[in-house]
This record gives sequence, C-alpha cells and structure tokens, in this order.
Amino acid sequence: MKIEISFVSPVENTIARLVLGCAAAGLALLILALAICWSWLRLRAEIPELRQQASELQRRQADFDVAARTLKNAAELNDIRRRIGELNGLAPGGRDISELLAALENVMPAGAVLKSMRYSGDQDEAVLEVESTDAAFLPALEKGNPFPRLTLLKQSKPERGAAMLYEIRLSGGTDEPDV
Amino acid sequence: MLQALIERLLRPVHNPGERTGVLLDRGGAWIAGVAAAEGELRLALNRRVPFKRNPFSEEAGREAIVAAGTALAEFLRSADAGRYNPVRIALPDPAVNLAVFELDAMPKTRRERDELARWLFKKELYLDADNLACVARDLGADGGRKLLLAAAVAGAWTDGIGHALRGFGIFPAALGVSAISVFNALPGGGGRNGALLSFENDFWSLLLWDEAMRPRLLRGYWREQADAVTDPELRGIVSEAERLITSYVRAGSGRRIEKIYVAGGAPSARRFVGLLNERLSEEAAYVDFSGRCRDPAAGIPACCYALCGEA
Repeated sequence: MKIEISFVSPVENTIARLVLGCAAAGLALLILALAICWSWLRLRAEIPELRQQASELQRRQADFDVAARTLKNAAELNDIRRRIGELNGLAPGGRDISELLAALENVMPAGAVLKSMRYSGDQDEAVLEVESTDAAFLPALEKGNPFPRLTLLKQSKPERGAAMLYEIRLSGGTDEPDV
Repeated sequence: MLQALIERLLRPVHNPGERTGVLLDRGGAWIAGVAAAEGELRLALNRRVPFKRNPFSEEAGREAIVAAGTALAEFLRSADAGRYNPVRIALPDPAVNLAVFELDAMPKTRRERDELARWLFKKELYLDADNLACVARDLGADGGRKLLLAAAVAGAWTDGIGHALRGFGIFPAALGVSAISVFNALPGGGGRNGALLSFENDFWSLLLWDEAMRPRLLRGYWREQADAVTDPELRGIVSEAERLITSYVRAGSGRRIEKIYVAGGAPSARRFVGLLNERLSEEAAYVDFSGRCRDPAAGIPACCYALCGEA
C-alpha cells in the first residue's frame, strides 16, 4: 500500500493540469481558426455577387447624383411657376386647341370630315369646314361640342364629289343655335 | 517563474529518467540523483549541502529555514537538478508528527480531511494548529472505524523552504516524510504487520504498519551525535524500539509485528541490525537500497534512494 504524503502540491499534477489547459486552449483556438476559415471561404464565394451589387449601387448613385444636380429646388420651381403664370397672363385667352379637337373627334360621326378649323381665342369662336354627304352630323355636333352656340354659316357643293361642304361657327353666348 | 514552468514542460526531452531525492536534517541536506541508463540505474549525483544554522531547532526562525532552503536551491540550480527532472524532498521523521486517528465517519473531500487532521492534532496532541501544515489520507476502515492518517509539520517550514526553492525556479514534486518514502520503496510493499527502523546519521525512527499494510505508528528521534555511535547508544535505541513495538502490539487485539526492516545510510546501520537481532525474537533484515544502482556509494540515506525510486 503506497502512502502519498506531501506538504506541497505535486508539480506533476500542476504540469498535467497546465498541459491539459494548454491542450484545451489549443483545441478551442483550432476550432476558432476552422470557423474563421469557413467563414472566409463563404465570404470569398460571395465576392462576385457583392461586387456586382456594389457596381449596381455605384451606377444608381451616379444616376442619383445626376438627378440631384438637375433637380430644381423649391424656390426655383416657384419662380418658374410664377414666370409661366405671367406669360400665360400675357398670352390671348381661349380654349386649348388640343382639347377642342379631341371633343370634336368624339362627336363627329363617321362620314363627316373636318377639313379645317380656325379658332379665335379673343372671341372664343371656332369656324369649322366639314365635308359630309348629309347634314345628319349637325345635331350630334350641336349636342356634343364644347361651345354653347352653333351657327351654320355656309353650305356648298364642291365641283367634284358627292359630299357637301358645311361652314360652321362655334361660339360662346346664350343664343339659340341657328340650325 | 514562467520560464521555469516551460523548462519543466520540456523536461522529458532533456533528461529522461533522471530523478533527484533530498533528505533534510539538522546539519544539512543530502542530495542524491539517479539516472536511468541502458536499462539500469546510475548514481548521477551524491552531495551533502551543509546548513549554517539548524533549521529544525525551536529557536530557529523563518530566516534559518529560508537560508537552509536557499542553500539547497543554490546547489540544485548549480547542479542543474530540479529544473528538468523531478526533485522529491523528505523531512526528517523527528520533525514530523504522524498519527492515525480513528473516526466514525470520514470527511469526503481532501480539504475537509486536512482540516479535521489539524483540529485533531490540536485537540489530542496539543499542537499549535494555527502554525501547522497538515495533510491527511484515508486509510480505509478497521473494525467499523475509519482510519485517518495525518501528518503535520511546522507551517514555517513548508512556507520557508517553498519560498526559497521557488525563488530559484525549483518546484519540488513532493515534500514528504522520510520513513514513509522508505516504506513505499520496501521490497514487496513490506508485507503484513511490519516495522521499519530508519537509521540515519542524524536521526532514527520507527514506523509500524498493520496486516493491511497501513502505517499505524511513527516515532522519530534526533540522535545525540551524528553517527558517533557507541554500543550503549545503539542498545538504547534498540530498547526504545522494543518498547514502542511492545506498546503498539499490546494496544490492540490482533496486533503483531512479523517482519522488521532496517534501512539507512548511517555506517553503523549494519551493526545496529546485529544488536537488534540479539534483543528481539523476530529477525531484522537490512534493506540495502544502494544495491539497485550500478555504482553505489556509501553513506547515502536510504530515503534518497527511495525518493528517486518514487519519481
């Protein structure tokens, strides 16, 4: 029966504990290194996609910079609106020709052809030349045109063709139409 | 300190199989180193380092103990011992109190056993428990009682010598008891119901163990003059040993001593065996540890060889 009596801690045990501690620390460091390597490889695989995303972002950034440079600030926009308002005030009044043509397009039946239109903004009056085989388009035009008054100025027959040429005046006012 | 630890970690690479045993006494330290070479042991170191002051006297303070430890550490460092190989140090038996306490229940942890041993030394042996270094071991049960082997030494000794050795980067593998080291190295474990008489130059001691080979009693005595042996002195030692053995045997039923070993480096050890055999009925056997080495030297304490064998 071996009797172990020592008034100091055995150095061998201390060294064994030290070695075991170092081994455990080394193992932990190894695991950490492997984790770092795995993470590095994964990040490396993501590099092309990230670069593509970065270039896309740079391009967007450039576009944004251009837009930012061309975008007027609020003061400039207000100034532009003011100047446009002033120009509109100087220009003669009247209807929008595009809107007028669009309205006529909607009410003119098939077979009626708008040959010409003269519009006077000052008098809010439009004179139309419409070529049609009959006068059936006139009621539709009277109801659908944006002017309150329709006056047939002239009705003639051209030398060639079967259609009649109607000269019509559309004007403001409350008088009854002359049809 | 870190360098010393690293060097110790590299020890197996530098000096495989080299061991050092140190026995302290009042006059100095006996240092023996044994190295394993080509399948046999070789005595690599044999030196006695004297102390300027007796560190074991009651008047000796911490300075004397540290001085003794420093002298020992300086030599170990100069001999390159204890840096790459284990050093085991034994305290002389007279400086150690060793007792076996019978308990109803054994404390579970080593720390609790040590603290109980400290308390028992104070309670039963009236020692100054506050200044004791105690260690205890569980010896198992005997007749329904738990046996606690406890050893105590002055705390100033363990602190002082440990401080001195650490200052030189030397960390002893053990700081134990001389007779216990020899007991551990006896051939065949010593057998059942035995006695060991350690006979060194500066002290002698008697260790008794039972049929389960558990130490039960240790008594150590300083010698009057270092190995200035006369037959009356030897006869006095024999009488004291006989008295102790008789006292032990009569203290409990079933106790007996079947084998007596004598070990020691004192030149008069063999003569002591003769006187012992004249007096006792059992024949004593001298254990020559030096025979285990290829080139033995005379005078080396048995404990030093035993310590080298333990490493």
